[in-house]
Amino acid sequence: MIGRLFITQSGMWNPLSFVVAAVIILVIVYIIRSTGTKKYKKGTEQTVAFFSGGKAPEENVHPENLYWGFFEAMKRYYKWLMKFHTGIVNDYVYSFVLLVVVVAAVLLLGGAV
Amino acid sequence: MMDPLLMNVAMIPAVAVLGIILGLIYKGIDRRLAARMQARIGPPLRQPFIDLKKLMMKENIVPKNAVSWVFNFMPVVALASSLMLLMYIPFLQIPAILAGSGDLIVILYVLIFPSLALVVGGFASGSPYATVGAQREMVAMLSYEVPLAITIVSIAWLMSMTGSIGTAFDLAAVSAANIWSLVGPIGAVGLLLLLVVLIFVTTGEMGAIPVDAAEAETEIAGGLLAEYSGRNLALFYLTSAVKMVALGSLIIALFLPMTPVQLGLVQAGNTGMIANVLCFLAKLFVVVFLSSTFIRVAVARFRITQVVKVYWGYTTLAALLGLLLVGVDILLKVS
Repeated sequence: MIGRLFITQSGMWNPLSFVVAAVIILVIVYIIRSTGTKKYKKGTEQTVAFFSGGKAPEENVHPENLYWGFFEAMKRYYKWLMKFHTGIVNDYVYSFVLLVVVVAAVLLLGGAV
Repeated sequence: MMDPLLMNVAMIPAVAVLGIILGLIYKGIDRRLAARMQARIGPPLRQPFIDLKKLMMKENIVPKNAVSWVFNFMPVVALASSLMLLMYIPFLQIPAILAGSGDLIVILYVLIFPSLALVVGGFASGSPYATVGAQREMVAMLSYEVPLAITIVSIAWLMSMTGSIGTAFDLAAVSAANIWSLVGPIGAVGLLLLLVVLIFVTTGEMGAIPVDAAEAETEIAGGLLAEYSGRNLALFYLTSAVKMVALGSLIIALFLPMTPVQLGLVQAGNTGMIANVLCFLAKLFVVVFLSSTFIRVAVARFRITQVVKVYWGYTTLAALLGLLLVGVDILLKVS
């Protein structure tokens, strides 16, 4: 065993052995990569991004659209969630109190308190 | 006698090469079987090796809009992290090289790297198709991580509730304990559900149909791999092969650890070792068949919104139900 083994109550990790293995593996991967052809025709048509024969648009996916599929699939949930965001402080406090009651009930019923 | 540390270091290249070769062989079997199930003859079993050779001979084109160093580095990261997985998971009856140096949490983290490398490589391509694919891959990752985490935590919880608190996340300990022996009939149903969930998560991790919205050749021309060619594409090809073996080995270590020798079918020794290796290969075949071959032939591609719904909805619910059944089983045992 090299380096220090960090042990928690139920897990462990040895960062140094991770790094040693990673370095060896990176060398292996670079050796595999070096067996391939390096060259290509720089500055020619082949370096233009493929767009089904057309000219690719300059702009790509915007950061605000990164999670589009996720938000679209969870639309109903987010709409439901947005109803609570009224902007009125009283509503937020009511939500907080309700959450505390639920957590306290779970703890009481579970016998933790 | 060789120092154990040096022995382990010397084993790393051997395990890496073995993982790559095994991955390519299983890729060949997978393609051949999928073809037969679609009433096609299919490619020869050695086709993945031929593909790899061909890719290595092709030009390694870097698009002019790409961030070239990131574009070139990400395939290396993807393959290296897939191989790192094999160092933490026992496979082919070889104990994990880094056993005792990392647990299931480390495996979960390392598991994210190949997909993340694909995402970063896709964004660095400077291609509209690749960025759409990268965006989809990120959403897919968000989706299948939840049921995966629930499955791992369920097993760790089962281990801790049955007296193995200190080694709850230790893969070698989980494997040695044989989780099926820790539960009764209700818990066994729960574990079966968790196994099905993990197999379906493997489909997502491998980006196989029906969860291949990020590549979707017929729609976005290969998505995040659209601009990759030559040796860079070859490395991603190897990544998927190694990941297949690593994920299969993880499922075997967690859910199907029993060997013919442990079951008393064969005596220990050389014959026992050969039987154990053959048994491992058979189990790996079953896992690959269920998580890749069968499902991609049987089901059409999901839209990315459907991927989220399937993983966050049905799969997560199935995982939670599995956890609940395991919990009920433990409560019944305690009472």
